[in-house]
Amino acid sequence: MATTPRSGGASGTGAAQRPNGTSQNKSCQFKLVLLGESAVGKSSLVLRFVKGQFHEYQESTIGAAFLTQTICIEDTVVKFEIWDTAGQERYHSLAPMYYRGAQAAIVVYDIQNQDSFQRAKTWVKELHKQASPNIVIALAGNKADLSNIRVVEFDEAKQYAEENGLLFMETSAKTGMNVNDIFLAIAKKLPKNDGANNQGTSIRPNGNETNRPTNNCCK
Amino acid sequence: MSELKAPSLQSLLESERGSTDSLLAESLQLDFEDLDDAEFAIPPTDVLPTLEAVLSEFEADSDVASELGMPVPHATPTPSIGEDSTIRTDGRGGGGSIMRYTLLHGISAQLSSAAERVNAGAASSCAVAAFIAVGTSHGHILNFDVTQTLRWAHQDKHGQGAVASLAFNADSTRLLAGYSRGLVAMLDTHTGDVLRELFDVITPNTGVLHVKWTSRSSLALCADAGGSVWSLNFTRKLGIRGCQSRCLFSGARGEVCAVEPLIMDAQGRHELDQYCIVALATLSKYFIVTVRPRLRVIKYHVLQGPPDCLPLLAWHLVLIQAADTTRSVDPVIVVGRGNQLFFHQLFVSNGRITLLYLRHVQLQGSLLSAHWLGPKCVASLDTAEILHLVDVRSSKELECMDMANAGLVYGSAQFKGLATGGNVSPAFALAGTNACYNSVVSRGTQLYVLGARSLHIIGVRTWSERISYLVKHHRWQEACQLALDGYIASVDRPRKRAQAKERIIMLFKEYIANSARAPDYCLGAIVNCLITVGELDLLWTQLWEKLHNSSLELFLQHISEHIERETIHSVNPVISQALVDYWLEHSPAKLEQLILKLDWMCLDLNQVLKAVKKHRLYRAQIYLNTQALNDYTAALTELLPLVTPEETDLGNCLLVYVSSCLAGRGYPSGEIPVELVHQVKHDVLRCLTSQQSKENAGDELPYPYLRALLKFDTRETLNVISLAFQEQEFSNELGLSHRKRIINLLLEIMTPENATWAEIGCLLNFIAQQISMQCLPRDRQLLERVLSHLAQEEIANESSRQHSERENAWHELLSSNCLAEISSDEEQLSLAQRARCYCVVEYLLEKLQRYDTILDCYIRNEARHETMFAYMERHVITPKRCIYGQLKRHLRELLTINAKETTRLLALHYPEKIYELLDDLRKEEALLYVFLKCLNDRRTKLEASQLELLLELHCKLDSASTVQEFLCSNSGYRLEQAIAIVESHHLNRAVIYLYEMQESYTKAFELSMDLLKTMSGEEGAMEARIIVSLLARSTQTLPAQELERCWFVLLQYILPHQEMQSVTKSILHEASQHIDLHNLVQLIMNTHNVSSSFGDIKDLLMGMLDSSRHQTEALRNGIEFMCQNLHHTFAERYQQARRGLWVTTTKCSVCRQRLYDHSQVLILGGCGHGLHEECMEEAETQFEKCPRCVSAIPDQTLKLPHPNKNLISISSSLEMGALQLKAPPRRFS
Repeated sequence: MATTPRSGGASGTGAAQRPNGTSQNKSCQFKLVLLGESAVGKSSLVLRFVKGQFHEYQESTIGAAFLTQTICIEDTVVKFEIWDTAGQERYHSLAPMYYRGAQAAIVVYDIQNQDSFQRAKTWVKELHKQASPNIVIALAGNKADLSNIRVVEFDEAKQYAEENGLLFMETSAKTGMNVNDIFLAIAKKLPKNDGANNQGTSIRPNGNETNRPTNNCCK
Repeated sequence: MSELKAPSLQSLLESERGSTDSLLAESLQLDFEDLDDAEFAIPPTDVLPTLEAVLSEFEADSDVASELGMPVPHATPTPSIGEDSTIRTDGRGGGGSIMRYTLLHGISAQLSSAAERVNAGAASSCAVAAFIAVGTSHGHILNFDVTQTLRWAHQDKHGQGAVASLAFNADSTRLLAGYSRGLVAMLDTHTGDVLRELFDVITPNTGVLHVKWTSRSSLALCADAGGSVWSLNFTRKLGIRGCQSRCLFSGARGEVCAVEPLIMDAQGRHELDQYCIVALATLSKYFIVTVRPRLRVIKYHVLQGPPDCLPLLAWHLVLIQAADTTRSVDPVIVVGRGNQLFFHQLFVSNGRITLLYLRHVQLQGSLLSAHWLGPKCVASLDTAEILHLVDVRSSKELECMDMANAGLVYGSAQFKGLATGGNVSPAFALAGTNACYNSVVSRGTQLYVLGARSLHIIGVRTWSERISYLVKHHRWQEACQLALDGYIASVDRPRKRAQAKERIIMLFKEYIANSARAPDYCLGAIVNCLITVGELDLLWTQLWEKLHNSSLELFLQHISEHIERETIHSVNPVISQALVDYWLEHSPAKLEQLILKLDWMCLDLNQVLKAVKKHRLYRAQIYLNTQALNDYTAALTELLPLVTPEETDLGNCLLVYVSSCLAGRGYPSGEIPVELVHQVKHDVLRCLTSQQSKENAGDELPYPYLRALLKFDTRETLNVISLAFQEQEFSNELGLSHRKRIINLLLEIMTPENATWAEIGCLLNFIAQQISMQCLPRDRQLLERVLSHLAQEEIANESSRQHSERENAWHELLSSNCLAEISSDEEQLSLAQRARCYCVVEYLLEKLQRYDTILDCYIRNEARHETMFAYMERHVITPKRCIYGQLKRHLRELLTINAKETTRLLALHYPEKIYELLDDLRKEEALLYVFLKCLNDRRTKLEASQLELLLELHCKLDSASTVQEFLCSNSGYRLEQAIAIVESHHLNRAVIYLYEMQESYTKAFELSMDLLKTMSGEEGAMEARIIVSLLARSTQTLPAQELERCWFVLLQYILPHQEMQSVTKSILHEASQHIDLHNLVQLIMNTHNVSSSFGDIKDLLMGMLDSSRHQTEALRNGIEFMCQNLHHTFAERYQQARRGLWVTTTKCSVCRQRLYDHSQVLILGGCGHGLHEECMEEAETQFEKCPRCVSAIPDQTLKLPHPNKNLISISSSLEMGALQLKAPPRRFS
């Protein structure tokens, strides 16, 4: 049902049908959660990644939206289950439900909005504190197509990311810049050596995965 | 034990109580023998796979068999039972999935070719161990290995006949063969060399029936057709093979049919290992004996059964769970005969071997064979060659299979001793017709059935294999059901459960692999399986990805079903998205149901919330808002603006929601988490009472939310608020101020401009209630306001319900004494009277003890008229209530309201006042009438004048018919007066009635006639009938002429009237009984125009003619009869007159004097005796009988003329011929 992303390369459908796939065709499933202040472009980012579309006037998300996308890196089929949370303050209490069981998170901010960057920092802090210790966090400075009126400098964000061990990219859902790349980067960074183990791990937002083995980090 | 007197057992039986210390020595000796035996054991060959394993591999199965033209035994469609004995009632049964049938093609082909090429004959016996050996009827033995390859063939050179029995020893190195002419041969299984040929080990001139190895490697048993059992002890001394034969049991004492040694191949040691145990069965009993270390009988039992049935024996090691939960693995013997199977456990207790009865199974049809197939099942073949598989634990038949096509070989030739000349007992020969001991053998869980030229295997599939079988045949439904049955049955065995789960997952994978073309086939069963075992991930991932469009919908439907049944609460978000889309399209209402049952965390909130908003699934929206977003106000802010009076569903839903929130309960179900309750209550209340809505358009009125609710349904909203006021949040100081605030808000909203009076009334009533319940402070201002509402004189469109609510509120305020400060009771009273709140008035009057006017309140309040009488009844005995005074005052109203009750009350409690009251009412006739009538109806004794008064009132005020009724039902009045009254009112019918009562029928008749003359048509006819009945009644009273006159008057009136024709006939008929017909006809003829109504009088005329004819006839008959009578009398007289007499006596019967001496002689009767008349006179009696001979005297007595001498002297009176005395006498008849 999910279309293969342009950058995915090989088709991912064949592997999905073979549960006991050989080593050439491992398949993993990861839960990814998008966090960030409202109107920074989380939903647009996901929409670009999953469907390759962009809407100028994206409706604001209520609660959280769910999407899936499958990509291939090297010999592994990676299936992302993406929870796109709502950025509005009133839904803030919902977020822990979703990031608690997630293996990856993308914290998004708007490069034209300093507040959103500050909010992003708070999110990162919260993730470090409360999410799974192995969670892969990526920081995305969205709306990079409007870099001429930027407020948050690239270097500032980059430095912050490095200090906190985050993946960092400036993205643009409108042009598609870096959108697939950031997901790909996350997929690469995620542990994939035990596909069978990952498969079928909790897909529910509140799954308890705090006791996952720590030696899986491949980098 | 006396029955067991076989020579070899003799000594044993005598030394029954043999010491146990000798056992040790003997076992040592046996060890020695074992060593000896081991010596000639050939070094073991390469380890071969077990036979079962190899045979299971090539599941040749039925399709191959049918290709080869072999008839395939079909599983009969009997209902079968699952492995764990869960009974399947759906009738499909295991469908033959438990028993696996295989034809061994290789062996069968070899048998056929042997029969054809080397004249080996048909197969006669077989044995199975690591090899399969088949003996034939011409003495050939074919030995096959597990790959069905023929290893060697052996032919008997001595002409010993058919191979009757074959047996492999424990390690399959030796084969023992018994022939039907008595030879027992031992062969090497690998080479086929004959090691021993024993010609003389059994009873001479008998055939071998069984050869069996025992648990001792050098000891075998052999049974012969004479019924004896021999032990063959093989020896090899100094390289010379020998054999000692010893008779264990002689056939002379009972012929042994079956021999079954106990072979314990269990890995674990068993206490019975040191013994060599054999079960023997004759036609009448069976017994268990130990052969080693000492010959000894453990137990024997009688075995009943039909004479043509052989006893069956089979051993198996079974895990037995005793009642005290100890477990043991013990040998269990099954003994069968006829249709019975008995199970006995053999175990050692306190050093003694004991046989314990376990259970008994009864089957249909008598049995040919019984074999264990594994420790749980027994396979038995019946005489119809149907194989039954019986589960031992449940004693239930699991499955059966028709084996008739296998061509089973019977060993009856051996039992009948055909090869040795038939030297067997007749009982033995008869029983032996069904022998198949050597053609049906078992090994492990397989049963080998030997046909004449074929060998068949029946295996038992395990649960897992059965699933595989069903899967292979694409019977997914059954496979899933079986799998689930197994899983459910393993409920309290975790290890087994895990295995079952694994198997189900495997089943699922097979399904996935197989269902590429039709993935929706049996989808429901698979989904059910996975959900039951809890493997939801497989459901979401592998199965889901496999499905295509149409099957996706099916899948979603199945999932929805499970959600509705609450077997799953959470689904994969991917599925939930599809589910929402699917149901949005097909049935949003169903979607709502599903959402309410699902865990919100698996839902795509963005999608679902937008959908529910769009499709107005309010409950789902509220559920998600509260559960997922923890937002208890969103529902209100979003939905309240949508509420209109038409949206009753939404409105009610929100009312309930608000109510449950304020009560701390969740909506639509469940509870709000304890820690949130307070916050939720606060939030909801604040939201409800917020002054402006979120999307304030600027032109809205303040408090939009509360206003919307009130607008929707004021009464229910207020109910919700009053319920909420009972919560503890509203009961403290702060709560009181909250209440006050809310009340103020309500008053602010419900201004006359924005609300109807009814709604405001509701509110004020509500406030009044709250105040009276002490829920609100007694605010003077508020109270005044409330009171002003309550005391309004006139409210437009006020329904009676609203009015009574107003009254209630007021009443409650009063009774809680809230209004005391505002105004006095007197003021209240006048207010209440003006406002027509009579309940309040009554309450106040009661309070002021002004009882004399309480009845007014009741009378004015229509709704309470009924209770008024109860009130009076209750207080009638209390003088201060002055009930009578009020009654009297309001008598007129009361009579109008309910005359009956009033009268009852008066008649019951004030009977003496009734006349006074009647006097009172003299002028008002209508009321008087009602009153009197009720009194009369109550059967109160009334005076005649009162009755007449009532009659007059009746006449005046009521219909004629009720007057009539009254007259009929009463009798107290005076007739004259009554007539006068009634006449004065011209109620003719009543007058007629009264006349009749007076018995003045003429008057009644005349009046009736007058009445009749005024009527016409149907009415007239009716009236005429009435008159007729009147006349009929008057028959007794009226003189005949008067009556006839009346009739004539009536008829004269009726006959000419055409419209009376319908009754004319009946009236004429009636009249004819009372008046002269002649006159009647004349009347008719005179008054009638004959042409038109001849038909009417026809009957009448015919009747007249009839009666005339009848009378004429009667007259003629009478005359005839009289004449006849006259003639008869005359003839009689004449006859008597002509009668002659013969006087036989000469003496008088009385005086005994001469008869003719005296005067007159009387002859009394026909007897001829006579007497004197004088004597008769002297006796002064009229003789009725002749005094002499007592014969009857006829009517007349003949008087002879005076005696004449001449007459007597016969001789001298010949000339007097007139009296011929000598004439022949005539007797009276």
